[in-house]
Amino acid sequence: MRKLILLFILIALFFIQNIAYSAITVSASKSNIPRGQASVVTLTYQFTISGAVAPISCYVESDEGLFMAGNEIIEVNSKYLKANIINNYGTAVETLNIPVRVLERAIKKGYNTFQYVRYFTDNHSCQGNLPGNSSLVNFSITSGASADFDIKRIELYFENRRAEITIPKYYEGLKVFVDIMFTGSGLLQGYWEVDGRILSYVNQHIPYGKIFTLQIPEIPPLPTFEPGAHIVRFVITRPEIQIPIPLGIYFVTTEEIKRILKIKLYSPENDAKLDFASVNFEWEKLETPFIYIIQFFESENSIPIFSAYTKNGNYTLSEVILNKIFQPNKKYFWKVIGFDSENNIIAESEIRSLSFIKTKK
Amino acid sequence: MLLLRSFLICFFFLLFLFIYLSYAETEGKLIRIISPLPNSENITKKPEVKIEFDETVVKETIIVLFDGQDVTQLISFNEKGFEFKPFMVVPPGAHTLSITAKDKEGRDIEETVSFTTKHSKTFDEAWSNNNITIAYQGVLKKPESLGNLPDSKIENNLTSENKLKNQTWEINFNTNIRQLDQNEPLMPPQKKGFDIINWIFTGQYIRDLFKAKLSLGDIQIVETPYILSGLSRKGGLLNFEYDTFQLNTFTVKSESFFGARGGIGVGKSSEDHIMGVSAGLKLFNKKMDIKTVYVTGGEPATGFGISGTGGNAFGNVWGFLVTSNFFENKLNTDIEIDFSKYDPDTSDEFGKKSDKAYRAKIYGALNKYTYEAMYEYIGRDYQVVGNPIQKDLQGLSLKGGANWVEHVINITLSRYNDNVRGDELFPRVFNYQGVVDYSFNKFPNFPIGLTYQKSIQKSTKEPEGVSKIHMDTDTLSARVNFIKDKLNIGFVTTYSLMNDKSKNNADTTSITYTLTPVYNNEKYSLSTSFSLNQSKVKPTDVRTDIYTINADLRTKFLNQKLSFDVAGTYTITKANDGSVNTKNLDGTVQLSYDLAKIVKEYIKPVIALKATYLKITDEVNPSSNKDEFVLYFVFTTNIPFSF
Repeated sequence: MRKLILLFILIALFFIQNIAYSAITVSASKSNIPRGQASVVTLTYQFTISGAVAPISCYVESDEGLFMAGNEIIEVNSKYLKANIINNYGTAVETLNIPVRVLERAIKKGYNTFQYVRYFTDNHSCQGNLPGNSSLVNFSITSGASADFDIKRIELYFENRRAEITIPKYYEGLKVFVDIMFTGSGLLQGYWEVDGRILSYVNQHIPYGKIFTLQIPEIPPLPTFEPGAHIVRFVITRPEIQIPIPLGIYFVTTEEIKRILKIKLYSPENDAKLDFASVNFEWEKLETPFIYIIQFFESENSIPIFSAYTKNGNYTLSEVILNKIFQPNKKYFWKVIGFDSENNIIAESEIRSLSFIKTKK
Repeated sequence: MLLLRSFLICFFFLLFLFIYLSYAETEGKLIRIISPLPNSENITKKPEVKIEFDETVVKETIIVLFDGQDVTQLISFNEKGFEFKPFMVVPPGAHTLSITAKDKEGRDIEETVSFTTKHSKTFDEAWSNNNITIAYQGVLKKPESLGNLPDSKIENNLTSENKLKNQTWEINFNTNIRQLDQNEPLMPPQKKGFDIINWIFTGQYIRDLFKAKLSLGDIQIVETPYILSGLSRKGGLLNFEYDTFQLNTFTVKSESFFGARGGIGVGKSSEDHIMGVSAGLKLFNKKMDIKTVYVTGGEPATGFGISGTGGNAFGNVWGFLVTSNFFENKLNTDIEIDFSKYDPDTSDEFGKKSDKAYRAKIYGALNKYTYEAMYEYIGRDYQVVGNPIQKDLQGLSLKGGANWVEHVINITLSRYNDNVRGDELFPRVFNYQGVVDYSFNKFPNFPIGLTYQKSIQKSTKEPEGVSKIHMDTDTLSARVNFIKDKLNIGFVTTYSLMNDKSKNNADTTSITYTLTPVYNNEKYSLSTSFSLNQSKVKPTDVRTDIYTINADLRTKFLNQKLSFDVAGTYTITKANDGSVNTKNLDGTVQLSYDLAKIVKEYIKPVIALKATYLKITDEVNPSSNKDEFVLYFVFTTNIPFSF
């Protein structure tokens, strides 16, 4: 009796092993597909042969894949797929495009799911040890928020709203943006790179909502000291995406832009309350600037109401000008800009405010 | 004959009398403006000013205002008075020169002259600024593993900006023309040879209340947020304005191209063009704008700078926009409604689907406070060619802000949901979000900020077999800077947790620390960043740490002739399951010598030695290891020319 039981267990194990390994298994990178949008999914097929007397090397192939809703074929994907099986084991990867029409046809028939089926043949190369003859993947059609986290569209552009820009050498603060249209929610991971060099990494949770716009960090800056074309990309590593990563090209010319230096303001202090009388403005006189302009504004973002040129590190606002342009008991803003001999702006101060609070006796 | 003689005598007498009286009038003045003459038209970009003044004028009291700008410190005194030439190019048109001073008795003296300038006889303004870049790079040393690295390459570029302007019309033309060549294939979309990388031509005519403007080339179309909110393509845009009425019409190539591919972009085929017309009217003293827009066309899913899924789409949209500002920005309104017909894939049997989108927004600013409230609905099938938008969304958002200078706070609250039609085949997901951002600016050298964001996603009405969604996301970020003279040290840290409360329990956590010390002075600048990005995925329990060190150095010495520039990154990536363990050093160093002073001022050659170094150490997959050093010789020239 014991021998019979042992024999039974051995036979059962043999079959279980065959069931476990003589198979085609397929896994999909995502299975919840948003309605009304085309999707791209990576399918990974694994082929395992067991039960053969000796290890087998052969191949299996499939002429087409079938999209099915219920028992009806709703679309045929005539993309050929072949997998080489070496020593009983083989894999194949398929990048599957799911067009909008597949989703619409399934929904029209009243389904919110569909299947993708492939039939394989071995043309007798596996000597009757075909691991199986079909594979099946289930997909659910759902709304944008409940779909798997996936990137649907990426648009990269510079500050001119285009993926190409021409800038002078040593240009500072070049901005790059990437608009990401996505479904679902998840952790977006990627990195900014220029000419293949990684600049910075990005880890950011993005809950479903509007288009997500990412801007390259100011630090580290994009290099602008090498004249010529440079390629910048935002490479997405999570979620796994099947669409190509777009690139932007910035061209650095040999025309050199002067670095904007900071001019330190000495007096008057920020938010100073001054007599309505002649006043001296002083700032740090740098080595390079050829000429300075001091500008006065009624508000921080308005055009200057008065300005004056000087080659020195100071300017005296005379009473003549004061009486002509300015008023007591009113707030003004001022700043200083430095130019080189070729009229290029090379230095700029912060903006300070002041008020003339008393009238002249 | 006698009559003629009498006439000539009279003429010369009158002429003499006129000159004498004019001279006498000028002579009588303490300050005499020799040039520019009153009401004269001057053909120049920098009009020369020549002034003579009497000995009784106290030189130290002279103040000279040119178009309201004090230029006193730029004037050059001579024996008779002073001279001045503007530092910048003076825009064409009317100008005023005003001189005030005191005489020895302390009396005020003032002279003012008005005149006009033109840049040339024919045009008020006419200029052409051009700049040629020539950049050659040759490899001096490279490893065998970089066999396909080009041994030499040349990149030339002409940047040209041109303008012609007269009283009623103006023409601008800007372009970049490039030539590339190297001994290995170029990475697409770049190509060898000459290419017009970008260009734009604008012609404008203005007369009284009428304005017409034509733009051709690389243009940008901005209509409404839901229709076209910044479409940059090649094409043409024609704009007419008369008083308060405005009309725009445009056609652009729908695919985004690099360079001159795709032609000028103007065409009438709606399959590969996006075309439209819009009309606007300003009412109530321009306090209310009414606009209607129609756009039609087709577009592919991809292009230069764009990558997406799907096939060729085709559609049209008709929209209305009403904006108002009756209370000086205290209360603004912005209402839009649009109706679209859109086919996401023209190759299938399904045609265009109709849908709508609308939004109503009020916003404004009251002293230190700002506010905004918006309701919006974007239909399930609402889509517009050339304007990607997240569809199937409806909700309300509220924003408020207060700026007390030392304390600044902004709060945003929103509630959105998808599945706007309530389709029973799909669940409806609600997204509640709140953001609080606070800045403390009391100490200008030490600004501090905090941001907290909470997002809750919950699904309802799940059909059979569909799992519930319940996801909470918390993000807390803190930032602080230390600013002292030319030093700015920034530190930002962000903690974020996406808590998946559904049965999947697919939680993810992210923590980022970034330190950015930056130092700038006249001779060098150094930008560095040190960051740690940690991410953890709960289902796999894998934590990945990425350490990144960046350096960007620029220096100039030897009287600005020698430059030394460095840009490099060092990264360490480690996963706690041992699946990733890499170290990566990647950098470029360049030492340049400026020959401009040696050759000629208008040709600015630079010679340089450039080195790149890449070292990858992969502990998991040693076959990926790299150790590559490349040395280049670089020659560049800049040739600017203007006329």
